[in-house]
Formats: sequence, C-alpha cells, structure tokens
Amino acid sequence: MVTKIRSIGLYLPCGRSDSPQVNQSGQQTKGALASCDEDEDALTLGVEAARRCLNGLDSPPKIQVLILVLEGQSHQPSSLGVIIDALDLDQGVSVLHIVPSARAPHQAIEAAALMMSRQPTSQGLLIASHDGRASASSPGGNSAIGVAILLDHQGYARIEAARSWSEVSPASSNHQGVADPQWYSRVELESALDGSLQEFCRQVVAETGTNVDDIELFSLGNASPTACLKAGRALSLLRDQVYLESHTELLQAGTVTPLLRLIGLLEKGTEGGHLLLTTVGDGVSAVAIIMEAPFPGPRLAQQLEASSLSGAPTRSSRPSSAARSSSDFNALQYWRDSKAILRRTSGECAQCHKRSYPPSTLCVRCGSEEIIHKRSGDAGTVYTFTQDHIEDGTYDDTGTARCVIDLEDGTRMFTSVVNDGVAYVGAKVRLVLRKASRNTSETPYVWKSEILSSSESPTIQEQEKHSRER
Amino acid sequence: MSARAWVNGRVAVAGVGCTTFGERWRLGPADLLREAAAEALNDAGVDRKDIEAAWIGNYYSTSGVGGASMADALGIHQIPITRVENYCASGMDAFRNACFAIAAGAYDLVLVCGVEKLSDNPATGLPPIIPMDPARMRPSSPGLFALAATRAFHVWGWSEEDLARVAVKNHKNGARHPKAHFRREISMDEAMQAPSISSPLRRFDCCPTSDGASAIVLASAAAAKRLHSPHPGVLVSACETVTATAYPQFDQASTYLGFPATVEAAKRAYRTAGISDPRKEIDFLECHDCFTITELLNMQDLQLCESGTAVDLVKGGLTASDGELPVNPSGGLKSFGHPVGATGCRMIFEVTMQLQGRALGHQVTSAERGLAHTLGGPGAVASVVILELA
Repeated sequence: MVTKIRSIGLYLPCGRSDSPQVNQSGQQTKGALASCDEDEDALTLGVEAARRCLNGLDSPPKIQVLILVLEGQSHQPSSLGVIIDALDLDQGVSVLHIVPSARAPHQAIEAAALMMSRQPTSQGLLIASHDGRASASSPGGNSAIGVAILLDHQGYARIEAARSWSEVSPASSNHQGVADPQWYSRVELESALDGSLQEFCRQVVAETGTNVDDIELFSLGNASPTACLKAGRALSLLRDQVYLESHTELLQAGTVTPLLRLIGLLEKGTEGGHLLLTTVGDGVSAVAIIMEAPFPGPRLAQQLEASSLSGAPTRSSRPSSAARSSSDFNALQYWRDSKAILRRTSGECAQCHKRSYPPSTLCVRCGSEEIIHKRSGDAGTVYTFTQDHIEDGTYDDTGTARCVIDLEDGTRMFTSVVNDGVAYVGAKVRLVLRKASRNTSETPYVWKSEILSSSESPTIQEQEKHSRER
Repeated sequence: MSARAWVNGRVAVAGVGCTTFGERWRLGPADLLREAAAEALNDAGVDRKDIEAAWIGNYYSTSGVGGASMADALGIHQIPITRVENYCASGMDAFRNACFAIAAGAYDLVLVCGVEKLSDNPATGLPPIIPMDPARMRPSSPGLFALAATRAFHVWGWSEEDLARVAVKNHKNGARHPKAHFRREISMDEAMQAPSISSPLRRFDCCPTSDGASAIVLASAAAAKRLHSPHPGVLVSACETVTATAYPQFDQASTYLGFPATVEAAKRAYRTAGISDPRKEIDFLECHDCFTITELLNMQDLQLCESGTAVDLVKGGLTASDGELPVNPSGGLKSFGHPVGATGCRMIFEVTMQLQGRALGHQVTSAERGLAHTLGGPGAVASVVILELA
C-alpha cells in the first residue's frame, strides 16, 4: 500500500528567548528562539501540533500507527498514555517511540510507511517535538516546536521511498545522536559527502524508478545552506534544485528541523515533482516524495505567524519552579482519573440531560444511573475568573489567571489560563494541554485555557499590571 | 411535627465559652480546648463530670483532634464523644447534632466544642487538603470566592469599594471585641490599596487564619431551669445544615451569585422557628464573612434583602452594629478571626452573649432573636442556627 502525506500541523510556543541558557533559567525575554512556558514540555508541544494536524479533517481519523520522536528534558516515556488519551486515539494503536537523533524524523517516516503497508485501512500519525531547552543531546541554540504529520493512503504527497543507512564512525561515536546542524556541517558531513550520501541517494532515487536528474527539489534536512549546496553539487544538481529556504533561528529546532525542511519542500514542490530529503548523522537517511497535488496549506509562514499570535509573550520572571510543589495532585488518584481528564469525557444524563465532568455515576439532579459518556469539544467561554496570587500555599506576586468556562456542549470546567492571557467574562477560550504544575519533575497533564480574544475594557488583571508598573 | 421542629424550645444554651482568637503560638489544640470548655462549664455552673456526651467540630486533621483527644484534654472519659468534620461548618454542625440528641431525650447536658490550630501550618492561607477527586482542579480558598465576586461585579455592577465597606465595618466592630484576632479599625483607603490576593479580593477582603476554640454547654429546657443561671435563658429555635456540591466550578447550575446550601438551610430554619419575614423578625446576625463578598451574598441568601441589593444595606449603614440589622457585631470572621472548626460555636457564643446583654462594649440594642450562619468549603455546606430569649 502506498503511504501519502495528508495533513501537517505545527505548534510553536509563543515565548521568545535569546538562548537556551536564558530559556532554561525561566528568565524569558524577547529573542529569536521560540521557548516553552514552564508548564509546557516536549509532550504538550507534540500534542498541540497533532491537534492542529487532525483538526478540520473531513472525517475523524482512525490512527492505528503512532510514531513519536519527543526530545526534551522533562519528557517521560511513561507518559505515552497521555498522548493517546489527549488525542482520543484508540487504545489498540501501534506505538513506536524513536530515540531523538539527527535522522530520527526520517527513520520515523520509514517506520510508519513500513507499518502502514501491512494495514490497508490504517492511518499513521508522526509526532516530533523539541522543547528547546539546552541539553547534552542539543547543546546548540534551538527553538521549541512541535510538528505532526498525518500519513494516510490518500493525500497530496506520495512517499515513494524511505531508507536509512547506518554507519557509526569514530567521529560520531563520542556523542549521542547530536541533532546540531552546525556540528554535522563541520565534521561528519564531509565524510558523508565524500561517498556515502551520493551513493545512497542514487540508490533511493533508483527505487522510485527515476534518477537524480528528475529531482525537482533536494534538501539536506539538518545542514546549513552551504552544506546543502555542497551536497547538491555532489549529486550533480543545479542550484535551483537545492532547497535553500531562509533558515531563521525559529526553524532551528533540534530533532524536528528536518521535518520543517520537509514542509518547506512540500510547499515549493509542483504537482508531479520529485522531492528528495536527506539527513546525515551516524549514517544517512533519505525520503523520496512525489507530489500528487499542490500543497494544500497552511503554509509554514502562516503557521508560524498564527502560532506567534496565539498568546501574549510569557512573563519576564517567575518564582523558581523548583520551589513549587503539586500538593493538589495525588499521583495515584490522578492516574486513576486520567482517562476522563485527558479525553475530556463528560457525562450526560439520559433522562434530564444534565452534564457532569468528570462523568458521575449517577445524575445529581434526577438520580438517573443512565449516564452517557461523551467527549467534549475544546472551545468555550469564560463564565467567571480570578487572578489568583495564592499557589501551593505561597504568595506569587504575578498570580495566575484561573477561570470557570462553559464548553459549547454545556460542560463546565475550571482551568488555569496559559501564556498570561487576560481573562474576562465572555472571553472565548480554547483548551490546550499543559502540565498541571510548573514543577518539571511532576507528570500530570491537564487542559488549560488559551484566551482567544482580547478584552475591550481594562480588566482586573490589567489594572493590577498597571498598578505594579506605577 | 417534623423531627427537626422538636428542637424548637426543647434545647437551651446553658453556658458559653471562647478563647481569644489569633496566633496563639504557645498553646496547642488541647490547651485551647481546655480554655474554652472551662469558660463554658463555669458559665453554665456545671462540673465536667456532669457532661453526658460531647461533640467536637474540627476540620484539619493536622490538629490531631478526635473524640479521644478531647476526652484527654478535658478529662471527660467514659462518655460518647463524636468528632464532626463539615468544612467551615464543622463546629455549627456539631452543635446541630448535639441539639438533636438533647431534643430526642437521649441526654440532659452535653458539651459542644470547636477548635482549630492553624498557626502550626507553615503555608500561606489554609493548609492544602487532598481532594477526593483530583480531576477537578480547585482554586485557592480566596480564589473560590473571588469567582463569585467577579460574577457579582459583572451582573450587578458591584465594585471593590462595595467590598471594602464590609471590611471597614467588620474591623470597626472587631476593634471593640476583647477576644477578636484583629482589634483595629481600617480606612477605606487601606482596604482599597491593599495587595491583591485573588482578584478582585484584596488583603482586607480576606479573613485571617487563626488559632482558637469555642465551647457551648447545652441542656434540655427542663435541665436548664434546674441550673439557676443568673443570665436570661436562651433557647434554640432552629438548627439546620444543608449540603450542596463541593465542586461548583464544575457545575453549570452554579450561578456564583449566592450559595444554594445557605438558601435551603435558611428556608428550613425559618420554617422551624416560625419566621415568615426574616428581615423584620431577626434582630441581628453573625454570618460567614470568610471574604467580604461572602457576607454580601449571605445576606441575600438569608432572605434579608433582594438579590443584588446587599451592598445598599451596607452603604446605608443598616448592617452596622448600631444599624437596623447589625451583621457581625463581633467583627465576624474578617476581624474576629477564623479557626475553621471553632467558628460555628464562636458565633453561637456571640449570639448568646448579645441576647443575654453581656456583649460589653459592642452590645447591639433590642436583641431578642439572633441568627448564626456558617458556610463551608466553596458553598458545599451551610448551617443556620436561630437562638432566642426564653
């Protein structure tokens, strides 16, 4: 069965910082890199990207293959169930978790295509994210970002071939799959360009029944423009055949970077065009794609712009997250109830239609035990709110906005507001997945509110802000 | 006649006691209990050995207070002692249970105490609790009631100034009470410019966390007569407790413009006490002003004014201690303090003292019938007690 790309979702957190070091300390300022808020991590970035990818499809997806490449300090593999529940995927989904590395995204596509070829009606979801925080595996400056790709047997871009060739060289044996394009351009790329990349690319293209002369666009997914051009010359490609989209720092996103290049290639490719995307690192990986229809959008630039507008800049200072605890959360209780929390399962009384969230076992209004479980949507309206300065038994100067919201189906929830959003009665909100507390050692995830529209009149929070500034 | 109506006229308040509320660093829960109980027993003119049964209201288990702890503290072993926990209404609900035991004829003389030792808790505000249902996130305590204030601002156009007037009034009352936690008046400016706690609530909109204990000796009406108290007799006309949801923030039926538990408890209490027009028939009240917004909403829920008009009563001075309907002449939770489990019995202590004309320095005039009201959790439970001169 042929595997095709059907839709792509991208999530870029609205924080901006200058360097991962600044990012890590929580002292976030305006800068060129996207940075997570303290209640975001690789998991929430990936889920938000996936929600954008799956949103607006004609029919509900039936994901049977889930491939994850999550890169971040706080990610815990045991949280896999959070992703399945938050995206409301079937429990029987086949999951493959790929360790982040330079070639991981392409290996993920290869694995997904292989797994899907055995299941004629299956759909695959590839989620890759990088939390942007500096770590041993990502020492360079990176943006935080999440990308999700829905793979289907129908779509606009056909994956003709996806192959990996591994080679552990002395130069690469002293690191752990470093996803730093600068590093590759200096050291390993040279050896790859000397032989292995060319030969491997020719083999992969040959599998598609064509040759390198037929390539419309080529990119080396994790390398600098200079290195891309060098690789193109090694394949006897013209400059126009090499994808050299502006490499803004926002798009330098560790493991995720090759997928951002892939999106760029899809945007530029014309109907019937052959695309070849490669990465190097402990070997070479290549994905050959044929465009069957024009790229349907949204385009990368539009997605970046939409993401940057999705929330206010994160606050300039916060108390140390290490000092915070999650006293409200008991781990055993949380995991017992997590299905209802993450799948936003509410109950509707079959008799009087009263909603309960999480679903009750009997209706508190009419006493009926016939409760129908339904999944609530993610859009709602603020009913009332407060800017709460008391958190976990300590006083926080800035405070956190918390609001009671009514979802469109009548379910009422109480949530925190993300990104220092300014709440007001009647504000439209959208639920987003975040960590319950800012303490990175804790894993419970909850839905929080993102304020979608701004207030027309000064709110209490704005008045407080002005008061502090005075 | 309903079982509840049996209480009316059958149960007498024989003696009352209350510690000074505040940060009682040197005293533990047992010390506080002893102080309040000794005062109540002495007031009733009875010995601890005469007590047939006892109840204790206490919320935070960190205080380590149960029935046996009370027995040890007061030296009243070999009698039934029951601990009651019902949020901030714990003390008043313990009182209600004791009333029913007397009315049912099971006992003639019982002791009800409430106690809380909050200064042992290092956290800001109330100690954290482990919720039964963590899926449903909770705001902080002030945050819970701030949600109501925001709604009242939006619907009725109330303002921070309206809230501040309540704080100023209650601080003025508390300044004259010898046992109050905060014994100083504040100005409108002080209240309005205080730091925000949970918007729109500021520091002076919030009651303190206090240490304290209170105690009530209850007797059957017949037994009370045999005690030959020098003070006017005080009878229990009604005592009601009603529960509602613990999660209004997840219930679309919650309007945040009042607390249904209070509305129902008041309705039942008025019926039991034979009250048809509470605004005219209640002379004064102690109500649960954990936050200034709560006092305003309670007045409406207790049917003392129309919905949305409570601020007008405060603004017009009607709820001042010398007003037509004094509300919280003790200073309320706002100024007197709020050791959670002790507050219910403290209110009954205050109402009794006022009815008997013993509230020296802050006595209200023409007090023949008084009401005490506590609200627990986020409006999850409400208790209403009505006392009147025999």
